[in-house]
This record gives sequence, C-alpha cells and structure tokens, in this order.
Amino acid sequence: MNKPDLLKAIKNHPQLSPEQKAWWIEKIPNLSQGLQEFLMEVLSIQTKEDQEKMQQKLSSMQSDLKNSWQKLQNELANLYQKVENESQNAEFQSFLKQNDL
Amino acid sequence: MNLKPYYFEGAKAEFIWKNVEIPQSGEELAKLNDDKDKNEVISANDLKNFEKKYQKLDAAIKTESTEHLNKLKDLQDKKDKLTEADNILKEIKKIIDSAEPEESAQSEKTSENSENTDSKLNYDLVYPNGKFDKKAYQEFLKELKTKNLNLHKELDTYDNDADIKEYLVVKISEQNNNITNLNSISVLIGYTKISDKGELLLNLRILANQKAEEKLEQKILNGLDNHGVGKLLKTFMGDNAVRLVKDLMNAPGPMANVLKFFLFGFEGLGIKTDQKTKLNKDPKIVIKKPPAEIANMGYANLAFAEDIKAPEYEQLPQAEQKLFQYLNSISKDTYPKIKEFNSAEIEYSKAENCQSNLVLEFATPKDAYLFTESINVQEKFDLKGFQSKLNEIQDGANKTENSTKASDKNGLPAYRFALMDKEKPSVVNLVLSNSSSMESSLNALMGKAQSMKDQFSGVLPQKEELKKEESKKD
Repeated sequence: MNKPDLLKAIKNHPQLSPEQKAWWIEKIPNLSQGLQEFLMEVLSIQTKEDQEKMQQKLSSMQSDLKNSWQKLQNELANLYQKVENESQNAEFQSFLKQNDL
Repeated sequence: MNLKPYYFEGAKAEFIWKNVEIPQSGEELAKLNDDKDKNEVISANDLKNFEKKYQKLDAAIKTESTEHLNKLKDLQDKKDKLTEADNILKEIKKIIDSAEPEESAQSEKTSENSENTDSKLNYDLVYPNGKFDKKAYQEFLKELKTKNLNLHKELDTYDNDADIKEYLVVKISEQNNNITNLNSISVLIGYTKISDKGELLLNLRILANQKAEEKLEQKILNGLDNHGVGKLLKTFMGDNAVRLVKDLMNAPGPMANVLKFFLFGFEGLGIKTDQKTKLNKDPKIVIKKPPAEIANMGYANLAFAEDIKAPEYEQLPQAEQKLFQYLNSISKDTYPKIKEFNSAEIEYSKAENCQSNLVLEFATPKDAYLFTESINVQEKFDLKGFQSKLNEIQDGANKTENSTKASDKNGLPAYRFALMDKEKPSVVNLVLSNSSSMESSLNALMGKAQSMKDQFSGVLPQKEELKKEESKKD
C-alpha cells in the first residue's frame, strides 16, 4: 500500500462527500504509516465482518488515545504542582529573609 | 502568583490557595471531565479545560525557568497531536458507520429487480410499455442535471486532466461484468439504479469532455488577456474571441500551430485541440435525439450496411424496437453501424423457437466492449453458464430436451446476449432469442461456435489490447 493507492481509494470511495474527500486528501500526506494502513482497510470494507473488525480496531485506538489524553492531563497537573511548590519555596525563603527569620 | 503566605500569631507560616481552582493531582483534574460526552474521546469541554489550565500555568511560570516553559510547550504540542488524532479517528468512524456492505448490496439487488423505483433517472420510465412519456422524460432530464452537478463537484477534487482521465478510465474499463463496480459508479454520481449503463457511461464521457473544454477555454482566455497577439486578436474578435480562437486552433494546417505558439509560446504547441467534434458537442444533450423523435423515426441515428434494407420498424417485435431505441440513444456520429440483421419479426408471431441476429460495428473496441457488457449485464446473461453449455453441445453430448431444461433451471437466460468478434474487436454479434429457444439459439450459433469458443477464453479484449487499438487509432 502506498500513498497514491490511498488517495485513489479516497477519491473513488462512493460514500464520501466531496468535502470529506478534500479533507482526507489534505490529511493523508501527514498520516503515519499505521494510520494509512488502517484507513485503507476501512475504505475496503466489504462485509459486515469487516465492518465489525474495523469498529473494534477503532475502539482500541480510541481507548489508547483516551489514555494518552489522561496522561497529558496528569502531566499538566504535575507541572502545575511543581511550579507551585517551587514558587512557594521561593516566596517563603524570601519572606524568611525579609523578616530575618 | 495567586498563592499568598500568611503568618498567624507569630507561629508558623501557612500557605493557602487563593483564587486558584486548580486541583492538586492528575486524578482530581481528571474528575473535572466527568461531565463530558461519554462517546467522545476528547470533547470540546476537554479542550476548553485544557486551554484554561494552560493559560493559567503559562501566566504562572512566566518568570520561572525555561525548563518549565519548554515542558509546557511540549505539553501543548502533545495536546495538538492528540486533538488531530482524535479528529482523524472521528472521520474514520464516520466512514465505518456509513459503510453498509450487506444491506446496500441487498437494497441494490432489490432495486435491480424491482419495477418501481423512486429514482426518476430510469430510462424505462420514459418508455412505459414502449410508449414515450414526455413528463417522465422531463423528470429524467431534470434529475440527470442534478446528478451531473454532483459529478462536477466530484471531478473538482481532481487536480489535473490526467487524474480525471484515470478516474474515468478506471471506472469505465475495470468493470469486467462486475455489477458491484457498476453500482459503485452509480452511487458515486448519485444514481440509485443503473437503468441504462450506456447512458451512464456516455454521461461520464461528456462530463470529462466538458471538463477538458472548460480548461482549454480558460487557457485561451489567459492567452487573450496576457499576450500581445492575444490582445490584438481580442480587439477585432470581440466577444466571440474564445470561440473563434478555438476554431482556428482546431483548423487543419499550420495556422493552428502558429496561433498556439503566439498565444502560449512553446508550451502551446503541446496543447491538444484535436477533439473538435467532442468539444463542439452540446454538453447538455445526453441523448442524441429526443426520445419522441427516436420513437417516431425508428432508426433515426442508425446506419445500415448498404446491402441491408431496414425492416419495417413498426412491425418489429417490441423487444427489438426497444433495442433500436437504445442503440439510437448511444449512437455517436455514424456508429454503431448495422452490418447484418436477421429479424425475428415473422417468426416471433409464428414459431415458438426463434431468434434475431445483429452484427454491429462500433467506432472503437472500447465502445464495443461497453455495449457488450451493457447488454449482458442488463439481461443478467450468465456467460460462464453459456460457455459450459456450449462446450457440452460441442462435445456432442446431451443435446436432449432435458439438458436444455436443466440449463434453464441453472439460470441461463437467453433473451439477449452479445459477443465481441475476436478478429475485429469493434464488431459485436448480438443475439435476441425468446426464452424457450435456448437450444435453437445454440444450434444456430454452431456455425460460429469455434470462433466464439475462443472468445470465451479471453471473453473480452483485455485493457492492453484496447489501449493498443486506441493508440493505433491515434
């Protein structure tokens, strides 16, 4: 599978609107190999079984994404915590110094 | 900072949160997102919360170390990537959800078999019981116009002529009797049912020509606006400049090249303008003659070989009349030519077993191929079944009535079928036969059987052969 094949599959896909096609044509060059392969599989759905398989695969990817998002939120909170701690320390030291404590 | 130190009664310093509502752990932070849509991975609310927190943190660490700033920037990049991934997965989900493989195949089948369909784009409706229905024809054209607009939109996603050509060639030539592909094309341009494949393909070709014409006109307009010679031509050609230049560029002789060179430079010499007939075709007319006229004139657009006298149209069986209407609608210039025609007009009324034979010559093997496929698909002709039956008879076995009935049971409709001539692929042998005359049809074909048997191994000329033939023509 290569990008031209994927582009062709997008352009020839009967269920996609012209707007959707234009959106995908813009995105495809920057998609990872894994996502490109997944998209190609999705575009080639022939049977109900294929569709269910793709739905499962998508759920698994969405679950991974959810975890990554959660991780990002934690990192943001941790950074905030760290900044606050450092700030508290600095201000406290300054307070002690100012008051000769 | 919003964090203020307070000192109570000389004891120890105590720090409290003021005006800051940020949770102190990731877990607490995550709880804030409980209100989001459970089906969404990253909701709009998630993004809003992230942005809020990001802004506050950004403001907070402005005076802090660059390490924190870098970390924050890193988190923002991660967020952008995750959001993008989420958008992509959402779009993929749409594709998966919209795919209805089994249901759609079924509904197409039902639509194929059903006489009544909601689509007005059904050529059969124009001729209910062989009579022209003006209102149905108007609705047909109206719906066709809408579908064409959609197809235009579709073609607009292609960057250049080569892509459009490839799209059409792929769609048209890779059908190989595969109804799924045909349905894909029809769905693509909004048809709910292929009632007349020849018309659909003709429509696609006309749209491709329209595209080519629009692009050429744009080039000429640019030439007239931006080049000295073009500006000069425009002064005395006025509003007709584009049309006149186009005609001149199509004219035989050196004038065309001189004009191309002056208007577009060396690049202009490569502009293909040798499709005059195509480009001058009225793009709005899909059916060459109005159906009413075709119905009245019978053989309106069709040319018979000199040694064949056209039979009395009104006396032809209805099936043949309908076939001629169809041939009229797909005819281009003087093609297809009717080279041989043995009508069943008499036998139909008198004999149980009868058939008509036509030999048609098309302009190109591709046209012959499309016609052959169209006839066989329309009639759901089982080519493989026919081949095995033919082999059976050729081997001299089972020529009994029972075997004919058995083959009928196996679904061997013999109403119409078309075979391309292997020696001359632009020629098609067309057989019309009533349903009970399969054996008679086969026997009648025995004279040609050997060459036809050969055809079955390759069934139809392959794409390479078509290309060769086309390039020879060029």
